[in-house]
Amino acid sequence: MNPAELAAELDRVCRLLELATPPAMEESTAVLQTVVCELSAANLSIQPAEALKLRTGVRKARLLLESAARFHRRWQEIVCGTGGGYTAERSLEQLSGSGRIRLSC
Amino acid sequence: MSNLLASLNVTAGALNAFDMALQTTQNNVANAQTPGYAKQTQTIDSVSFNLQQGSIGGVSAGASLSSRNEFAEQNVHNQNTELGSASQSVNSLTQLQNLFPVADDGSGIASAMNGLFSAFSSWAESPNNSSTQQVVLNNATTVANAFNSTAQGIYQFVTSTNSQISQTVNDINNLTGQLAADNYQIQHGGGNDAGLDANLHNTLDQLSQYVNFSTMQQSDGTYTVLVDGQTPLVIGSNQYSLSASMQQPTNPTPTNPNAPPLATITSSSGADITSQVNSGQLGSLLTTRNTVIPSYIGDAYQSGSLNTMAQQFADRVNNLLTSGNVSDGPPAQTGTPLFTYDATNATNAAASLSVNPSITGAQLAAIQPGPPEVANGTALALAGLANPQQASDEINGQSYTQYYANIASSIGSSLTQATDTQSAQQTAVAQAQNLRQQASGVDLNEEAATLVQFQNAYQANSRFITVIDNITSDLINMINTAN
Repeated sequence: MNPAELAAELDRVCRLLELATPPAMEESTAVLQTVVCELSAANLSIQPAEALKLRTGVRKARLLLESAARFHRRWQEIVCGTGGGYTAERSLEQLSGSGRIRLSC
Repeated sequence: MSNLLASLNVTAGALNAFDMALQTTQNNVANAQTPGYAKQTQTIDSVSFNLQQGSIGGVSAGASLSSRNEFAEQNVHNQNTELGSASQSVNSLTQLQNLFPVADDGSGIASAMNGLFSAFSSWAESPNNSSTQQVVLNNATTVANAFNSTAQGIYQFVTSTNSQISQTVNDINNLTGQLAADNYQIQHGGGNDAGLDANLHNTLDQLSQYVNFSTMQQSDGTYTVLVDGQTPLVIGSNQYSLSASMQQPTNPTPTNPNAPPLATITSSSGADITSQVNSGQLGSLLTTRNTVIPSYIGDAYQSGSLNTMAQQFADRVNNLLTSGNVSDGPPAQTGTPLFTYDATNATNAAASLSVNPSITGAQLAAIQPGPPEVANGTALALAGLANPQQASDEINGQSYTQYYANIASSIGSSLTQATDTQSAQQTAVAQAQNLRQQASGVDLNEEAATLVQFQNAYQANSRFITVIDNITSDLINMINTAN
């Protein structure tokens, strides 16, 4: 991949993070992994403007990721508090996804 | 007969319940595109079956529940506030950047100073030539005018920022007035009105662009709105208006009492809450007005970089000229200062800089008395200010042109950063709206599962982002080193 294609992939990551659904998050992980591999392996001939564009893409992805993570962390606390209550030590009861049956049609 | 009536009652109750459910569904469909609207659910309660107490079972319409998730709402507000702040910063910095041109096209301080250094250089070649002397005077006037017009431009920017602050405070007060009116309706029977709820949340969305605030829903259904979680804007049906004013700080005692006053936001109780307004459009305007602008034109405690530059440049040129001689004499005739400025107000140096009205070309002192005397020594020293070789010709360890370039480039890089933040924040608002959408009416079991899935993805992604960030930093460093 050339720098422009890498920047386009980072844009794709941002669009997926903007959706912020768990499936979109998983897809964004795969795309990010590709970008990391390409950046690490290749001897890129890169212009300053292209490097800065990549940097902007990374910053945007980081902001979106952190924002979604903050939301989900807090949301998890709410869900744990609502669904599981509190432990004797007054911390939130952890809810586990395993052992639950989810039916969809 | 009583059994028949009871049966009819049960049927009527059920019909009523399902009719209300249908109405709720119709509301949801009709308001699908209404800003601020959250899906409503009609609950249907079972009625107890106890014939002895005359209770014959069936169903009745329960409360209409909103799927609105206040935490998700607050998240959208927070992102909106950050976007309002970034957008305002882009707007302000763009205006400010235009006041500091760097192109050598005859406009601005950089171009004017280059012209003066060039005139000093030509004068050094022919120190007694009246036309080269006149070019020095003309170009010195251009430098003074450039400082004056930049300072005036900033003062106009101050005026426009002040009026924007007042306007934004008015907008905030209008919106909090609407919220107080909505709360009044909630207190008087409008608690289950989905339209009112949509209206109120749409107003909160609008307010979030202007100022950082938090909301708390009270037991009576009304919303309390607090600036920075501290100062009330709305409690129940009461509105607490903000006001904006321009005030000179008094503690500690100002070193520049005639400096332009700073913007202050006051609560309805008269308390200064400026420091609480730290985000949103108003937060950004306050940062521009109280931090960014004073860094250029000063405030009660600093002179500002533009004034520092004007004053130090004028002082250095005057110092060189007054230590030189116009003629050998005897008696030797010493030089006259080229520049004047208001020395009584450090924040007025750039705006008041002018060429000494009484100086003539013949009074420019080209001779450096020495020993040894150099016929064009002072003129050469003045031309040398373009590329200083000694600390006394520098300002903060830089040449005057470098110092100015740094002012301009710092605005440019702040603008680039603000533009990046604005673009990212626009996406973050869209993300928060998507998350709000997802958080409406979720099933707890399903949510617990998706949260675990999300957490795995988050951990993987954050690791990758750190790696990419490091790689791009290395790339940028390599490019900078190569250049």
